[in-house]
Amino acid sequence: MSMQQLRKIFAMESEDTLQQMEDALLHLEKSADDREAVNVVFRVAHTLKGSAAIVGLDAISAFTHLMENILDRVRSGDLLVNADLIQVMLACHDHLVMWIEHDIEQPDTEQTDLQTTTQDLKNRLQSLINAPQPKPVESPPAPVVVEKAVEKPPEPTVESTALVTIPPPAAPNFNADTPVFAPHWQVSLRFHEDALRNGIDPLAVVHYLSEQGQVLQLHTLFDAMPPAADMNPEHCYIGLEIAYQVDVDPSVVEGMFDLVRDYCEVRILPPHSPLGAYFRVLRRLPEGIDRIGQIWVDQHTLTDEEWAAGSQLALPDEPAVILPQESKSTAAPPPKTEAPSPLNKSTTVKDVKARLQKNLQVDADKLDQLINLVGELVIANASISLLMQKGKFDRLGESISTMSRLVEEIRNSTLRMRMVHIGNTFNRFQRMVHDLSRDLGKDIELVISGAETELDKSMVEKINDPLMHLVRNAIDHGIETPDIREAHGKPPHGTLQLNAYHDSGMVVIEVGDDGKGLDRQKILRKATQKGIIRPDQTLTEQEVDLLMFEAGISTSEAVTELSGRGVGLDVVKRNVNALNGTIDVYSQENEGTQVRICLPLTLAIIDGFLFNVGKSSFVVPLDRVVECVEFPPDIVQNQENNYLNLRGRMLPLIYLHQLFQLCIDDTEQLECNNIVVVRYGDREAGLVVSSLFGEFQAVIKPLGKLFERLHGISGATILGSGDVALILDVPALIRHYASLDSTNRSARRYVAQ
Amino acid sequence: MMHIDVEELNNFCVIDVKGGVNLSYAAELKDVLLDAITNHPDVEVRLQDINEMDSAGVQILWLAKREALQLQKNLRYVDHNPVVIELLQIYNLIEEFADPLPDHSREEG
Repeated sequence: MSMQQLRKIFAMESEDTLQQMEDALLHLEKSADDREAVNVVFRVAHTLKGSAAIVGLDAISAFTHLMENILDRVRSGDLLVNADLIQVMLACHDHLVMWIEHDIEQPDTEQTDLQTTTQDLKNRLQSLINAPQPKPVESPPAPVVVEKAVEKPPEPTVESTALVTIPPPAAPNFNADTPVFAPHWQVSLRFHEDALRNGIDPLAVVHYLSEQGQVLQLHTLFDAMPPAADMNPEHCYIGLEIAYQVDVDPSVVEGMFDLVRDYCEVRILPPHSPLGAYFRVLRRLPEGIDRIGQIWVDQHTLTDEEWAAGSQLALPDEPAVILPQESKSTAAPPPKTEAPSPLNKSTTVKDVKARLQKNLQVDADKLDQLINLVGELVIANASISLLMQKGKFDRLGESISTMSRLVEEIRNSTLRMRMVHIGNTFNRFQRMVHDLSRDLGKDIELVISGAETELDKSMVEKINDPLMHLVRNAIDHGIETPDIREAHGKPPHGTLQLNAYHDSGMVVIEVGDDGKGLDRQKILRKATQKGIIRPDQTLTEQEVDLLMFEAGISTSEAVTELSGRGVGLDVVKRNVNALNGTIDVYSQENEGTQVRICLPLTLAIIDGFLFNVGKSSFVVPLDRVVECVEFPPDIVQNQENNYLNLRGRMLPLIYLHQLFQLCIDDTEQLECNNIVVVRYGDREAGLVVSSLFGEFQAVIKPLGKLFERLHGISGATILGSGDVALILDVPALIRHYASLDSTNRSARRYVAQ
Repeated sequence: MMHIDVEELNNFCVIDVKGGVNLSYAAELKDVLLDAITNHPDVEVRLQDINEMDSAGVQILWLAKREALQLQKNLRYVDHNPVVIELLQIYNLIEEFADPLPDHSREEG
């Protein structure tokens, strides 16, 4: 592999790690005492330093080294996290992003800009180090507990003196410093849920331990195993208590677990450790003191007397062993403190890290090719089923249905490979919200939910721009400045919500704010000015709100740097429509605006429902179909009978052959005996069709350029027989029906506009 | 490749687990075992044709055992293959999983 290739990999990886750094820095801004976030930033700087050096980018390595130094001092408590520090670090982050990109794209050109910025930032970093900073006082945040895996034998440290001062009300001959009798090590392993999936099998660990020494006793714990319904077969719920005999240095034993530390909590007690150390470990083990204590007694790690005496020891609360710093700060995982992290943000940072490690990078083209092939397979399979139905091969039928099932599974898992979490896209807005709200003097919090919702990768890329426009719009026009908000009786800080979830085969993405809401009068005025609507037109509130996505409409009087020129939101509409998605707006004056984007899960293959009208075949997405009913024979089928009484409900009917003006031979009577009831949102409609063929996997083929502006049809697919079936755009049909309704059902040609 | 044969008799179910029981098949094994103890008062799981097993497999066996206990059903693991026995020995779970542990498999192990 050439150096250039290596550097590309470095650039790709650094993109992810830098994103983590940014997330963590933004999080630190809110809660400066979150050590986990500091650790994340430190780790990123450290990793970059190392990998930049490997790929020969020495300047970057030196720069990150300086960052690392500072972060190290933050970790050890010499430096405090404050706004200055975060600003400098964010600036360093931005600089690194540009720098790395430059070094990879144009490695041979020198850029003086970059060099000046580098020097400038170096100076700022240096001044941080030199600036006299108060040592953190003991009180804020809670005493930092860096739990070290190996409990060192008593040394004249703060800890042991603290212990001595506690009067031990224990049995006469025991106190916390009494070394226990057991001549072996006690190793407590609690594997993380993702251990197995990452190829860490507890068995292998035990095997390795038995090679290095002697496993005297082993007790397997399944205490972490949830009820059967919640138990994920791929998760690891195993804990091990091991009495272990090995004749090496404590640091060597500690090192034996380096490889698994990312997937396992490791606690090691050397032989003859003080009794207090055992009980401090016991307190931190999730299963409870009594449960594990009893196991230790069984394993002869504690004698009955030691157990009895230790149970009564009053140990100082938590501050376990305070060690200034981890010896191997790099590879070792973040120190685990028992108290849950103050905010769950840091866990998401960890999640991202865990996910990165599980990922395998595959060329997107290869995946697309695979999906194409699967699409062909689906079509070929449909064609075989068709042949089978025509001939009479009962035995063949069985194997074909097995094959169909397999093809369906392959289809699903292939498509799932393209699915990515939308959270990464959402998180990018953290920075934007942070920067923009500061520029505008607003106090805005970004609340993200549903980050784990999965979406087709190609979709994620295309939805990024629309989301950015919506977020900008909400910050700029939606949310008011703190004083205006307070005047309206709202909390001074505004909330911007990004939410995503799956809903009946669609992905719903919501961008909501608690700002002033849309000014409908103003929108109407502008729309009339621009000639988008006629002055005499009456519109529902919903329709008015949707006008904000028309080109040239801006709800803001002032054109700002960010938005307000009336461009932008029409891009949103265009992009979403291009993805076969829909937009809805819900706005309430003084309470805020919520924009809801519904997108199909994937663009490639859908589960469809196949039927025909005369000789033409049509497919509707299966999740749009509510039910199928027979057309009542006593009702005349014509345009006048626009409604059907379906179990007491009025069901509007759409006559597809009339709508699409299908050529029907006058001599033969078109028989339309069935109704397919479809739903969009809370509206339903009945499509009048000839015969039903049922479920069908439709490989969506885009229509050519010529048919781009065709309404009511969203694509085409190829049937097993080789015929083409059109895929109906149910939302468009229902909306079309509604508009027909409002214009007195005046017949209008719909397809060819 | 794991393969499971399920033979359902009156109130009695015999499950024959064959091949490699590992992470990839843990979900399938979980479903089969939990189904069986839900639907039958008496379930016997034969382990003689298992040629490979990992911790994911052990977890499922343990889970099924616990569920059976809770549902007051009778779940027995029998005819352990030496591979399984070795694994259970490492995990020190022999006592919990051997109902009755046949002698011949011990000799083979």
